[in-house]
Amino acid sequence: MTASRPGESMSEIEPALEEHQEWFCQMPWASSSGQSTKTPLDTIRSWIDEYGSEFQATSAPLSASIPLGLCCHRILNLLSGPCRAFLQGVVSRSVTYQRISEILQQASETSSDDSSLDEVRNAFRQFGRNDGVRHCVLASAVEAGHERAIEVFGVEFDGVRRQLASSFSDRLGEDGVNEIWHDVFTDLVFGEAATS
Amino acid sequence: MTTKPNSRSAQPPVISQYTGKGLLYAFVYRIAQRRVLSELKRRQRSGVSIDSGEIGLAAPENDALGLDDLRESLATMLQGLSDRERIVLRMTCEGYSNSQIAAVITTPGKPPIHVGRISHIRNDIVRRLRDTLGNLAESVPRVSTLISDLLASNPSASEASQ
Repeated sequence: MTASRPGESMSEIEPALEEHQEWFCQMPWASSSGQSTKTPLDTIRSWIDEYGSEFQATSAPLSASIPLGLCCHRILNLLSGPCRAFLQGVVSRSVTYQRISEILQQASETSSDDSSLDEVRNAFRQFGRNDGVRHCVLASAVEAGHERAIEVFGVEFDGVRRQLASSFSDRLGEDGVNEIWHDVFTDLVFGEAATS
Repeated sequence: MTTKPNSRSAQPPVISQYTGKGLLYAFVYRIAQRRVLSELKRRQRSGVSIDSGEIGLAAPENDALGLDDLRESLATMLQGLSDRERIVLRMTCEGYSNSQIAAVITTPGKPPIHVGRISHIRNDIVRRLRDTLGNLAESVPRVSTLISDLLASNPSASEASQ
């Protein structure tokens, strides 16, 4: 089992892994190490810390200050789509899925699979999917109340407000749309019925 | 943008409901869109209107088995349905019988719609859905199951818009 760092609770991660164990342990990255949980989870944690430097103002690793289990659960959910499709032989029209399937197929054939998990992450990043892993980490950092993450979220998702404005400002007015977006943003980031 | 500690809120941040299934942007957009539609309904009180946004297909979230791309196609297909067809689809997914659906969509004061007509509409919608799904239909036991899954994929977002 993966060693925990100070402040980390592995009991948070284990339920997420258990839920996804069916497919996770069938992947090339799991079969090579012979230790079905260690290397992949360490890799996922390193992803969290890699993105964490963007979402956290301090030098402390983000994985020590976010709901780690929920973040892993999000990432595993994200990975599960293309990975299950690969295992089941489902051919998707998605370029991302096709690329990930190629990566996994190559890894399973050559046994050079140590980096396949990273390559899957990079495939998400490369093919216009808004870097799903990064957004899983961002959501977790926002959920944990990291101010820098909330700022990043506000900037990156202002596109939603603009999109709503282009569709509904004729009926609600620009101010009306902005007001609704402000409420939505507050609920998303601070919780419903938050005091202003 | 000002920041406030999450502890001020009576409820956890709604972003905690994001599960990683699909794009975060789509998750956020759907919540915002539902809030806008709710506000429009509140303002307009214009009667029954069922569109793709209301049944959760305006933006994708759950992309298990690569369905994310198909959602856009499905949403486009749904936008092409008439109001009557949308009502039939929605009520079918909610488990109503043909006779119950016929009773709902019959215009008051006009002759009742025959249940056979409802069956025809349902079959036509299913055919169009299968066309949209293409090869993936083989991986989906029943199209109605897929639609039900799509409808059920975002209860939290629906709750968030309350």
